[in-house]
Amino acid sequence: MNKTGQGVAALLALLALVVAGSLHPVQAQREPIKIGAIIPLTGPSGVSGQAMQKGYQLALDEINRGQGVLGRRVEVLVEDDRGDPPTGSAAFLKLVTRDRVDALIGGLQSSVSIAVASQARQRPILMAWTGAASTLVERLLAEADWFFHYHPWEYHNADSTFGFLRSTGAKTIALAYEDGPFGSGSADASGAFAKNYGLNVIFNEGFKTGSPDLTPLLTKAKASGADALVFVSFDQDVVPMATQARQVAYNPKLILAAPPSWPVGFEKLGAGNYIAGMAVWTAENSHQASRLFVRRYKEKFNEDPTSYWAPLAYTNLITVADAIKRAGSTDLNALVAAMKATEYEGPIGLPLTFKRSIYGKNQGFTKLIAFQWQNGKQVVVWPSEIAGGKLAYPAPYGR
Amino acid sequence: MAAVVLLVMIILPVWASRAQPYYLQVALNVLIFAVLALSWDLLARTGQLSLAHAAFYGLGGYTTTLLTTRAGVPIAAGILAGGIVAVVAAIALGMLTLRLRGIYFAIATLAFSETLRVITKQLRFTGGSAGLVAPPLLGGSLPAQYAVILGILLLAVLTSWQVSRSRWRYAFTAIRTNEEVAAVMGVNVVRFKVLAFAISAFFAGVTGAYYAHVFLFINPFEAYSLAVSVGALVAPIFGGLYTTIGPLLGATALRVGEEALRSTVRSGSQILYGLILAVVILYMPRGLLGVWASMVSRRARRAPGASTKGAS
Amino acid sequence: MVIFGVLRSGLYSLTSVGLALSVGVIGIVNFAHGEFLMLGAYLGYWLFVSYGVDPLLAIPIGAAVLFALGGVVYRVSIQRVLHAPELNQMLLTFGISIFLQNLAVILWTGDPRTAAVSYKARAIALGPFTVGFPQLVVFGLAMALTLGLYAVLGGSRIGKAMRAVAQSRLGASLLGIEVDRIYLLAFGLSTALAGTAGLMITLQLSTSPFIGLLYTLKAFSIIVIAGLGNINGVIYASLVLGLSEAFVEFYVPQGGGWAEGVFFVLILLVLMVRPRGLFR
Repeated sequence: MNKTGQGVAALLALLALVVAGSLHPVQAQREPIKIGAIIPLTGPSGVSGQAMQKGYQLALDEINRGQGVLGRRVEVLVEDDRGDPPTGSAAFLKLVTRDRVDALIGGLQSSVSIAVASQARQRPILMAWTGAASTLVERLLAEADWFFHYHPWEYHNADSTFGFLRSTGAKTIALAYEDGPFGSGSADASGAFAKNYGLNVIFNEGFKTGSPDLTPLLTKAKASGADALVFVSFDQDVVPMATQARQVAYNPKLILAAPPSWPVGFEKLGAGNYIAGMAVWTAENSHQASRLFVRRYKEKFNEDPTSYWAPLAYTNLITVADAIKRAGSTDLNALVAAMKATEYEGPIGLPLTFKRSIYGKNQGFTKLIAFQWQNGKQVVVWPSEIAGGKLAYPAPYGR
Repeated sequence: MAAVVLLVMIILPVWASRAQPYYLQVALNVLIFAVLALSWDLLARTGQLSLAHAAFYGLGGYTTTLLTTRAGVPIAAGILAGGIVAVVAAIALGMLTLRLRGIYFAIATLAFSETLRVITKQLRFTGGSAGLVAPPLLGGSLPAQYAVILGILLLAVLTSWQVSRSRWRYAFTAIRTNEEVAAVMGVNVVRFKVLAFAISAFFAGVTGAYYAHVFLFINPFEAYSLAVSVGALVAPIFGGLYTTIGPLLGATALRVGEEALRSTVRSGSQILYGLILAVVILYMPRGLLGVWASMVSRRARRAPGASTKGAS
Repeated sequence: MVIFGVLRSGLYSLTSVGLALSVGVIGIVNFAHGEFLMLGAYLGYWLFVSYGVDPLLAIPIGAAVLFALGGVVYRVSIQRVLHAPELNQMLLTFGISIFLQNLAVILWTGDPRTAAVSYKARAIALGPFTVGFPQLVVFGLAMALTLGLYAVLGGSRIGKAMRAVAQSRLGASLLGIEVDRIYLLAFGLSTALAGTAGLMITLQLSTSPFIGLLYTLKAFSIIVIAGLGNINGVIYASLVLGLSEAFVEFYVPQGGGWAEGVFFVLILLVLMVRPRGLFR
């Protein structure tokens, strides 16, 4: 190209830039509200993370079906943290500095949460965090006004568990837990709470998740003669626990298991009948919002929701969107004030408000509910206000 | 080529800390990986294919965390101590596994790493399964932390380069090819094997310690995870074994690739990783450098009047 | 306690025999061994849930399918790295294992699935002891299969050919044995055994895409203790492992957590003291 041609081209390019720049403010008004989500779509917690993503999708449909928020559409930018803290840090920076999201949701694993939290402390943003039950996270973000936590902390889980156990009349407890962070954390919290509720933990032992053979453990638990067995583990462990308990004829008055979710097909297992469980939520919840959620989930995804992460995530996004609406803007301080004023009752079936917890400022859910498997259904048995059936205690195992 | 890459790594923070901290963070993650890759490769040059890299990484992380939180030791000293503890462990392990070759050696190192994991998980003293929180390095400033890992990487690169230029290279290669013959030729096999182990572990330990103070949290599963050891060996293989550039190239390509894939290919990224690994082994056994070398020599052969070189 | 240890060793032995075969005959350490086991377990699950086929009855189907799959995998990939450095072989099978694991996640989601086989929880009385019925079945099956394999290797023509190849590839080919064919058969057989073990897992427990690694590691430790390539030793090694684990779980306080370390410590000890294995 000759000199003149180059000059014209440069001028045209400059013109284009100017036009594009001036178009910008007009577009900004219609720009969607961006909310960043950091969840593990792959990796060890991938299953739960994907359930969360589905919860977000349901919430998003609902939000955008109406007028959106403040007249703008809402967009959720999902980043997969792969259960890896460095990836979580990078995802945070991407969302906050490059995509410039207005708020942050998500959160499952404690290690990733800690990495994200350390970044967030330097670049405060509204962090409406579903996951992490480890109190290490709570303590790290103790003074953060902009951190809102939905999931009960470890000690809340222990509190609910032993509150329920006391209500059954059991006096002595055998505690078995998987020796990873999930199980050990719960076990640690258990000691104090058991005592609070007047219960005595007379047997206490860890095991490796995924072990095919739990008979030594169960035999020892049986020998202890405790009223109830509390079994903290992952989904895969409840199967050997249930079947091998039958094999060694271990029949305590109650077996209480607390996996984050239950294996598909467990409802058909004869040995699983009358085992109790604790959960943030079960699909059998009779609350109207919960039934509606389950129905919509089935319609959209053609399957039953198997864990509570989906409704929890749904609640997460809906309340954040609602807070933005009430704040009237995406300014951090307004958002924080609006979030603090949240009063919501949704698919989880329990009222959600944010109050102080032991170390943190804004804690959402603090209670678990107890259910018992009765002939293939998870019947809610505690607290009595929302019970859907009666607890079979002593449970008729092996009969 | 190495100089260009290094230059980029140094300019990056200046640009990134203003405009895009995201890229800086990704670069930091890449560098951590690169140091692990380089240090693993160093050991591999003596024919010792270790699956214990995570053990030294974890030891470094735990040493520094325990020292800085329980004994009030300053972070810099903690990181150094992490490296030293790793070296001591490596010397011990190296002496114990002297007679083992190939797959036996690999499994022994894996067993060592896993045993450490179980012990750490069981003891209250090391925080058990819940893990430990560590104090932040340099107040959490990303550019400053980047500078530190860059420094560590440069040290590792220099070490690797020096080893491949000095007489040690012949000793390492001789040992790798055939230990008995090397001994007969007068190479002090024991000394070099243990030395390689120690150097390799030092960098792994320091990196593990660095990680603890940047991401503020360690637990037995992630610190001693097999994934760390595997990652440390995949990168040099992908890039090109027994070189300095190879591990760097492999580490960068893998991590950057992963990060890019993560955003575009939602749930399938892990499966691609496995596929890539298999394909590389099957069709590119000398890694990226091997591909580059064969392309270069092919071009040379195509040029008129080129000497006949054998296929590489 | 002894009974539990012995019964447990049945399952371990079943999962390791296949790996011992592939290591011994082909010289390949198949990191993806656990994934073939996992696929067998899923096959058992779907057969049970869709057609009501008991996992025990599904064994012929499972073995055949996994044999074919193993053959395909062998032809497509493993065959090419037979002459490559060991590292490459390890990595290839590792890549295959990651691929298969994630394939399973995509196809069937990461949720564990359990087959509610009617006698899963049944126990029968053996003298003064009650033992779990499925465990007993698995133990019996493991014994039968291992002895059967031993017989095949000792007696049949193919078995003898395999042993020849295991001893010396060059020598065997000089004798006119089609080494490559033998490798294919051995690998297929090894994956078929893994798949059968997987079916038994579905019978006793539950399956998920992630169960592979645990069993691969246990199988490794067993074949190391037995001596790489030593197939008869697998039973004894499994007994050693099963009994030590049960011992630790029973008598050591908080034993459940430490038991996991048992097999790693065993590997270390064996490798340092008698690297050729305890049962040569």
